[in-house]
Amino acid sequence: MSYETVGKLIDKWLNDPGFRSALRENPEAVIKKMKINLSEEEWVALKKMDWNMSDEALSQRVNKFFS
Amino acid sequence: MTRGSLSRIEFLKQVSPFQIKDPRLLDQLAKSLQDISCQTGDVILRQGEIGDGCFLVVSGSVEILQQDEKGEKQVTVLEKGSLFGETALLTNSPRNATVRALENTQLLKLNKEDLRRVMGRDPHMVRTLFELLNLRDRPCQKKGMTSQTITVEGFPTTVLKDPVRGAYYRLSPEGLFVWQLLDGLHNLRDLALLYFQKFHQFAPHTVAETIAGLVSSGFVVGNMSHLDETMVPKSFLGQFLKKMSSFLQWKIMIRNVDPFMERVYHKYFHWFTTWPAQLFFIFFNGIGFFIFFSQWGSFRSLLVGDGWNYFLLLLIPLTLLSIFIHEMGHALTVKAFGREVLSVGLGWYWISPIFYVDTSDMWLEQRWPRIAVSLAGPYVHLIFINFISLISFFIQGSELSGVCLIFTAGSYLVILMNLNPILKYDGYYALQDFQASH
Repeated sequence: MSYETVGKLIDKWLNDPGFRSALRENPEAVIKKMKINLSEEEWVALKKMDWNMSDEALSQRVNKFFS
Repeated sequence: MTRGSLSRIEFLKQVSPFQIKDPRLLDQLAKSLQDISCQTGDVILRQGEIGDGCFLVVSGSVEILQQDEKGEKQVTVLEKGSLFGETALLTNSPRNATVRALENTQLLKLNKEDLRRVMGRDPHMVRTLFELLNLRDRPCQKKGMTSQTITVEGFPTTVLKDPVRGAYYRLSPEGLFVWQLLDGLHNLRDLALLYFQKFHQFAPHTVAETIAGLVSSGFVVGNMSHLDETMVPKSFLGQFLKKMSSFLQWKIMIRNVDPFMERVYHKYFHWFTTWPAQLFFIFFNGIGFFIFFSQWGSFRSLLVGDGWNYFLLLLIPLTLLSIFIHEMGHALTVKAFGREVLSVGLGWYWISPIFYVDTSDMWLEQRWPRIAVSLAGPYVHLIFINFISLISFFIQGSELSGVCLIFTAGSYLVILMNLNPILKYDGYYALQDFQASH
């Protein structure tokens, strides 16, 4: 996938809520429908895409005394 | 309903933020829109101006231009169905871009007051507009944040720290990459492209979620940080629950206690964490348990005895002292790991008074030191209780001995409650860390 193609995809992703949800639900189908050619390596990257972020706010640790 | 109003409604139904289900609200919205026609090259908005409305592209196209130190550059082109100009209204800030018609363009303008009215009645619209606000952001790291990368089971994890608020945020290597680019110059498009270059993954959603998390946690300044509160609808139930929660959970915080804890630890307690000391206290606790249970008979007779024992008043200072020792156990163990005690305090937690130590700085450590800090409170508490149990043994038969036994029995129960993982006390944190993979 060329840099230009990625730029266009990002623009579409930013401006089209329908595309955002479709890509989340079935990225392979969306890419095929858009007739974008992906290399073997890019297909693997797409399939193993992690949609669940491991980054998180850490809650305050307050060691309280139960009395 | 006029023909023009009907066609506007049909158009609005296709535009994401305005897909309103209530037909009357949609009709009101359609009537409040104002038609605007632009010729090629007309400037619709100018960067730095105060905004009074937002615009929908009905036909044609517009370009978004942003001025920086290098000059004016085109950020994007918006076509039919796109919304622009909403950021200035929602954040009460000047226009962040200039918008120019690329061809003869037809627009619909919605005034700020009308937007506020519709937002107050349609939660879907609020969500969609806030999402748009995030997507069009140029977020910037908040100043003064520090970071530390720790390797856990072979995987690097970075923890951000806000020293002023005592807040922490955990980042994966991918999240750290995004964090390092948040300089207020890159927008989401730039960041998603750089992310693709680095990780060979098309992941604007990942970048957007990382930024949204950092903004909502106060580590990054973005559009959502400058939200105009008058534009955000507030539900009565939400406000009621917030007030109830602050009433049932409140705290009085004492900050800047770390230098004191540092001195106390290094002057008096650094020996406590040595192996000989720990072996001694394990042995000591064993003796304490044995003595208490060997006096079980006299304790039972105390419970069924009659008359008021004035020595029972001693339970008050003994309990206060045990609370102090318990909390010092947490605080001094934090110091033993070289971390900062952010605050100490007291307050109310649902149905009981609480005394606490803020040990959040332990997020910069791995899980076993965190577990040690959580368990240190009950552990030193136990040592104190068993010391009282030992005293009761030496003064057996006296009224004071009975008070010591009552205190010991009650304190064992308190420790069990503190270790109960269902309640958010020490046991909860210890179990949470034990289950964590980092």
